[in-house]
Amino acid sequence: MEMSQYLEIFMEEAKEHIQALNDGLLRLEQNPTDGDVVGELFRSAHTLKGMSATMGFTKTAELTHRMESSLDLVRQDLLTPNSAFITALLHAVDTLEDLVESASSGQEDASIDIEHIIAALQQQGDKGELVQESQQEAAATVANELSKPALTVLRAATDQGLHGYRLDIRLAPDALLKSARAYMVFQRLEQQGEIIQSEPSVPDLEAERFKDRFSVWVISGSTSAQLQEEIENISDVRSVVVSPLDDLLGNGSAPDSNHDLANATRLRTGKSVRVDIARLDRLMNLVSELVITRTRLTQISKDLDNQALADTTATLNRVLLELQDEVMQVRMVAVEQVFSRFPRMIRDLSQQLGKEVDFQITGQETELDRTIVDEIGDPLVHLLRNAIDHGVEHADVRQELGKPAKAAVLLSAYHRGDSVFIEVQDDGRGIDAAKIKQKAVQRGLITSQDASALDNEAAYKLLFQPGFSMAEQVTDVSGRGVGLDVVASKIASLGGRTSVHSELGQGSVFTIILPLTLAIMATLQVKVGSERYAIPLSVVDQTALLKRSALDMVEHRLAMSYRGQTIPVIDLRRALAVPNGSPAVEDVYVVVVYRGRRLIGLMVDELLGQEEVVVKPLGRFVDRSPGISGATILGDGSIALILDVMSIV
Amino acid sequence: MSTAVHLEEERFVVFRLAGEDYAVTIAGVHTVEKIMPITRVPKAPDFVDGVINLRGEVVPVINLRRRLGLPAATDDVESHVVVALAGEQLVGLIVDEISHVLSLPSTAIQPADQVIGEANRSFIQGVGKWENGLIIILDLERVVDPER
Repeated sequence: MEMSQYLEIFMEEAKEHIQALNDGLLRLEQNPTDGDVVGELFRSAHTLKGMSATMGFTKTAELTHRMESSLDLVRQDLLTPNSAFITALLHAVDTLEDLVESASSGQEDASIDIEHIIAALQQQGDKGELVQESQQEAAATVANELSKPALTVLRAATDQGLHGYRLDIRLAPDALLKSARAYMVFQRLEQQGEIIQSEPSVPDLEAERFKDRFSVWVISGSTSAQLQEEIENISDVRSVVVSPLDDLLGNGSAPDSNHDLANATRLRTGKSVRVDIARLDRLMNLVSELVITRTRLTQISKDLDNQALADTTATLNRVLLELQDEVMQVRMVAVEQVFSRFPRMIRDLSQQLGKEVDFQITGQETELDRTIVDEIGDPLVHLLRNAIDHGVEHADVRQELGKPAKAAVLLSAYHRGDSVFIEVQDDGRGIDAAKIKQKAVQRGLITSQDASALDNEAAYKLLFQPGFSMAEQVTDVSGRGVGLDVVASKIASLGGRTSVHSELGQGSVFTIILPLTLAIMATLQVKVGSERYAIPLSVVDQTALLKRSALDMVEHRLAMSYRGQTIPVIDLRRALAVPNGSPAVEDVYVVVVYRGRRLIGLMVDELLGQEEVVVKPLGRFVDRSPGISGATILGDGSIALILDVMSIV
Repeated sequence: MSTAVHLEEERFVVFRLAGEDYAVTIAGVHTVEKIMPITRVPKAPDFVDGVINLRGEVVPVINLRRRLGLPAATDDVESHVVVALAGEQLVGLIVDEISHVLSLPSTAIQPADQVIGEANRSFIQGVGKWENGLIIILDLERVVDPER
């Protein structure tokens, strides 16, 4: 059978399952008794096994089969997952990733060794503690879970041939009105039977004092599948696990008590579709063409002065704005996509370095344009590695300093206005400004006089200079001669900024500030000679009309005084080598912009006003032109180039 | 799979430039457009005239005459833009006029060094012979490579 057309889908889904396995194993390590996670893991392994067998990837199928068997032991409570067990499975996931990666060519890499991984899994299975929980113990758990009156009701009901169930319900993390959802769950269940208890309690549920999970104990004549279906159909319900209580009480088997957990926690599907990214880009392009056409139409309608036409154009405008907004929304993805691989990385890294790290993530639901999300992975890896390698101390050192043995590293994302902030924070040793200055002088980046004049903030900025690496010794982790300058330039190329704040001995915070989207940008349109350029409004501080004679010359360079300081001025006609423009006039406009944290003036001939533009790439061999970051198409079909303030000289 | 023996043929878009026939493989050609306003890009490679708006797409335009070391165009002889793929990048090529589409058997195409002198050889994929003479087949990926 011709499989190549399915390969792409396989690759994509396989990667998702691998990510799910990674996540799940880390969660299981934190909480070895979490049955939900085991179920999820089992299902991912199971699905992968099926997918890879269909595709003819026998090694992948074999490996996932073994993983499934191991997980099954945990699922049946025959094995308690300890750290060695998790590590063996994580190694298996790594190998799985290699296999899947190699399968992108259509064939698995035969040289990838799965035998010793399988042997390790086997060993874990053998030596694992076999836990044979007795029926009584399990029943005792039910008795412990339930209040006395509830238990009495349950016993009475089961005697009448009804069945008791425990439902573990999980809502979508972004669900609004969670209490209302809980209320709907209660209402549906009451149609099926009687609710005898809930956790958290009803008042807590009503007051929304719960995160996204709650459990309900019910007595009902329905089967678990019926309950399952009833609850699954409520919107915002992510998953439902129905566990019969009957057999635990020793009252015979409930209907479908052997109902497979793999089926019981059925994820709700059918609410989203996969779309090729190229299609999204094409959609965005079509919308921008529409925007351009609309501008033209608006102009024509003005010229014709026809009321009916003007009304129609206004309607078109409104619809188009909404359409534009929707398309932009579709392009937004949660930073979770990038963040999700970090817990695993941090775990491995801290183990490798023998450090204890408590890694937390907040704000992973924060959304950014996908083009930006695709690019921020490497810079963040760099910052996190730095934090673990150079930032946090070893446990013994920390205890001597009176800090908790476990270091805290926090990765957080949040919105502020038109920007998204991403922070990497650690409570490690902090950055020694004096040491930075010393290094910078050694490397010849600054003179010792410069150094003494620098305050801490300015000293931190040196970290982002090319060729500055703070590592005392080269380590395998982050001392690869690639400094923070790479991070800074990558972020700058995305239209963002990087900053650092640190307290010696207390820790450091690296902050990345990114625009929400690259695709649409508010700009100030200017004229230079006969050419039109767009300056991103996000960097513009102010505009000023000046007499040319009011500009100073400082060391043969144009400068002006602005808010009590002297700032350099760049004549854009010269910087952009604008050909045969009209003769220079006495009145000039200066656009004062931020270049990083410094202000500079850009001298232009005319200010044409503000405009929201759709940013287009310039094309591979043109995009290296300094001073230009992209292009945009104006209402009349002509092109304006977008200035890159960082690289203009 | 057909078992019939047939001559391998390739099709080309042939255009004129400074009195000579040039060609690019038809597989990469998207459209041919009338010459349109070009926006200059400061400090772009010297063979780039600027960018054009191709129905909402911003496409760099190559000045082929300059790139191939041909004399600059006088008057308005440059009449069309051939929009084609150079590798994965869409580019516009300014040409004097479009001639036609030509099918050539692979046997009629020879390596450049057998026919042409030193100049420009690095941009040329081969030379095709047909009834009206020679056509120079361009390798667009090399043409747009600023390192060459």
